Amino acid sequence: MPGIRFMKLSDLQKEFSEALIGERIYSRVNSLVEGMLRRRDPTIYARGAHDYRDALADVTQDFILDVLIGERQIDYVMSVSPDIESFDRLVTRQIRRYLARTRARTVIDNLIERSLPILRKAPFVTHAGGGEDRFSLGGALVDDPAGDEARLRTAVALAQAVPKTIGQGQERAPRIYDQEALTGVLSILCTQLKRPVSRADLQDFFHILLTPWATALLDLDAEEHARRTLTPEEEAVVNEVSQTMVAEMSDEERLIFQYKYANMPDREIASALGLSRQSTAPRKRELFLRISSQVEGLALDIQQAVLARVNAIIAIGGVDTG
Amino acid sequence: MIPESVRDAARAAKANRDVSSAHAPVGARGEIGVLRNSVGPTPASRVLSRLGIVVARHDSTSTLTIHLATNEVEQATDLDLILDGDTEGLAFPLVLQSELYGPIFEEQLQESLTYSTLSRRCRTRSCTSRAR
Repeated sequence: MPGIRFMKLSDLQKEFSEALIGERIYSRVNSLVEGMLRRRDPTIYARGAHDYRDALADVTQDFILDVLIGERQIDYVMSVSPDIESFDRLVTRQIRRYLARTRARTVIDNLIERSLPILRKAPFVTHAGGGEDRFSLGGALVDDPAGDEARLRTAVALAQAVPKTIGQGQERAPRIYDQEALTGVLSILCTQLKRPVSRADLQDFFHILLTPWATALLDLDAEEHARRTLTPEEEAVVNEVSQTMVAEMSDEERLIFQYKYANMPDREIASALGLSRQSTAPRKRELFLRISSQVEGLALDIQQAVLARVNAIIAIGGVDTG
Repeated sequence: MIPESVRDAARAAKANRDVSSAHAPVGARGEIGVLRNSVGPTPASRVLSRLGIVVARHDSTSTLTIHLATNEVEQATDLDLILDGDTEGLAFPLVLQSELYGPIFEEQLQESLTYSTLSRRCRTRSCTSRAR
């Protein structure tokens, strides 16, 4: 079989008349698809792959099955192409249209696009170099790749507390976080990861953070949302109690609360505080007793709402989210 | 290496096709064929061929009046006619662009793909929308 560069239209026409699509046409189309994918973001155009080569065979196969065979475009291309260059131009045009039709832009892509301008401004710090910007939030950075995954999981657990914007179930791509909440989420990631954060880190972080949430809340309809909404009187109570509670907490107590609310084990809290588990226990007990006295007398669902609000206020940096 | 699924699909598609193959054109009314720019300063190989349907023949000038056709069915407007490939003996659906017409020399019609009487089941985009 002649190489791609030495193929002639007559080779392809012969194969077309014998088998419709065989090795020659397949390999030529594959090289054209590769040329198109190489210049595009693979996460959007190549089935979410990090490298377009991982998805090249799948994209080529689907394109041939759906467009060239399914829509019979191979017949059209072979009917009107007078030479191999025309064949390439027509197939490339079809590939471009196919990629535009099948591009997958996810809510995570949208969040990353919104995150980058936030990360480029203070208080975040941009680390240029290596062809890609990375971002941090001051503080001490550590060089410990082995603990990276555990720190990412911690960041995800803590970021779960940041309030999400509930859609009406009609948006094509829900916004998920308002600007303030997104800043809070990014602060948690940078603080916990303890190293400059890249675009790939953002992708992993949001992927883990939103995957369990997607099936539950993305489909939440307005009626269900309304049932969970507090009355104005209850809202006032929740606001007042939660603000008082946060104001009375020390930084150490806020961290303990945040970790316990995210169901993190005591050893993680101790590690975050730089203390032993034995030293952490009395601090935790004291905080719980104070919280219990503050929510005493409130209905159970109001108590839960207060704790959720406290967690949200702490998560986005002490700002009241109510 | 071509995947088995592609090979099988190509084999099945080829077996199921009942379309007339290309042949020499006669320039008859209703003939759908490949138009090539064989005159003018641009070399033929540099110009992409177009498809067109013959709607009139002028023997005195050896010219044909044609409407251009395209395979971009999803871009058809309400003024265009969509020809189903199956009913017209074509391997693929076509859009006849009713506003794009003009004369060509007979020799520019280089290959004939099929004939359409335009009385069969061709439709406009608005018919398609209503059907959906």
